[in-house]
Amino acid sequence: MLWVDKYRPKTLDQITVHEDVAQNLKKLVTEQDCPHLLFYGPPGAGKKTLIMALLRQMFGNSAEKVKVENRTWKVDAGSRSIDIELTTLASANHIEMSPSDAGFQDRYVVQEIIKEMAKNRPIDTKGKKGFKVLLLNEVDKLSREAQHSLRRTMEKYSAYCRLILCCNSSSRVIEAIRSRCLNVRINAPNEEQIVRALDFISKKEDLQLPSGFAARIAEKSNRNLRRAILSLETCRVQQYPFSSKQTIPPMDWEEYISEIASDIMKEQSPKRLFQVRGKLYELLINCIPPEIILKRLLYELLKKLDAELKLEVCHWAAYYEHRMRLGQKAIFHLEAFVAKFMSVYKAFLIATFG
Amino acid sequence: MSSRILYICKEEGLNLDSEALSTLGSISQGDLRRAITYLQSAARLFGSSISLKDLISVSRVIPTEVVQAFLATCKSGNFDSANKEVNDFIAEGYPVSQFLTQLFEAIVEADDISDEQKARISKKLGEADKCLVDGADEYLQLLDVCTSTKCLSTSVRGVPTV
Ligand SMILES: Nc1ncnc2c1ncn2[C@@H]1O[C@H](COP(=O)(O)OP(=O)(O)OP(=O)(O)O)[C@@H](O)[C@H]1O
Ligand SMILES: [Mg+2]
Repeated sequence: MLWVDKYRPKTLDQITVHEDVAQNLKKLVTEQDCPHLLFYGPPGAGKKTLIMALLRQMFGNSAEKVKVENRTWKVDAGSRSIDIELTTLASANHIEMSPSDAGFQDRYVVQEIIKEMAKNRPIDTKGKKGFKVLLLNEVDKLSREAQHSLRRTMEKYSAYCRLILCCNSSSRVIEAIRSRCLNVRINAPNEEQIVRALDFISKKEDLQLPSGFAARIAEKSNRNLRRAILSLETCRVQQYPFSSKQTIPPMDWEEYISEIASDIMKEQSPKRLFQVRGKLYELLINCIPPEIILKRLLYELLKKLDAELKLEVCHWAAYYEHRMRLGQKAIFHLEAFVAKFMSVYKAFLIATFG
Repeated sequence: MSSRILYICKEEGLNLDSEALSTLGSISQGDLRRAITYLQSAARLFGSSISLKDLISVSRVIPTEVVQAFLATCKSGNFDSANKEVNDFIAEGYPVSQFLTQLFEAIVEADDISDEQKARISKKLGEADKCLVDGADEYLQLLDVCTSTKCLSTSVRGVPTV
């Protein structure tokens, strides 16, 4: 088992990084009537960990007995009926899924599932009908239509189910949903907290950490706890005992993007642009999200640039990322950004050195 | 609005301090449903005695200190520290769309920015807001606002307008 899973705190009391949030959540479930919840925050901050601990607090150990199911829903989409396939994780008391995986059909999924859950309400020990929890991941990736349909269903069936919504960017969740939930912001742990988590794991694994080693991992993680724990485990596989000078390996795709950045800085020409296209395709094929590619490329380019060009390059990165959202083929916009950069940079070189 | 809030507090046995009461209206941007949601959320989490800090933590509002610190960094004109500020802001999980609203207010109120610059920055904020509605990346949009705010307000060099 990977350390990220092995050392995931199981109960609200074990949670150390967002202790205050955990304690508040505990209060919330002891008062019977739990509201809908919306968790938001950057990747690897610990949202899912908190949510799973919360479910355990609500339903005891049974919340952990989950079954993975690939399910197909037949839904009525106006004139025809369509089949939608989605993977769900379910226990007796909750269902988890990422409805945005259904792409354009996401709004049907949301409606169907909630309706179905309302029909099969669990019966608690006292013979009363209880409620189920529906955990929806990545609600910020849901289409607007799906979000509106979610909001209507939320009102209609609120007696039967509680929603727990999870997302990175709460700006992308419509106000109507946000205002019906208790919003819980989960900030990324700071480097100190990450170091503490790494120390804790090292103790459990009986590892000796040279001084400053955990701090270096934390610094490289960009405040992403999952990333930091994964790095620690990779380092452990690479070389143990650790040496204080041991390099913290970057992710493969990050190294690849850093190469692309060097290529771009070395030569600005149609030929080079063509070569870069091939590399960008390679990244996309390996399922690196295009906005992540663009942001990382910007990060690498900024490292190499003079201050006066930085502003302009940032502007164009924002500009092309926005266009990428509106368009359908990410590669066009990534390439447009590279071409734009080449032209800006070349003009700068000519102006400076003739 | 505050009479309605006071009524709810009385019915529910809540104790709202005066600072919290007077700010609730502005945090909820005059929206009564939002105000009531915040009140109820705070009551659930923090019990019957509610302070301004409690209200802010259940709302999406960004603490004033954070906005002011951000603005100061923007004005400093140092790209790398601005970039770091944006990075940290995103890591804190604050909603950027909400932040643009607050940044707008802070800029309008600022004494050390000329009217013309204010107008240009506001235009930029508007553009970024639209991009966010379209689903654009929060980090990149905020960085763009931050860096162009900086270069607009010191008028070093205009980023090309598109
Ligand atoms: N309070 C904590 N104490 C120690 N480790 C933690 C804590 N919270 C999370 N972790 C570790 O950090 C990792 C990432 O957490 P989690 O999966 O909850 O992040 P997330 O916010 O859901 O991220 P994403 O948005 O990328 O899905 C977990 O695998 C877990 O091992
Ligand atoms: Mg997760």
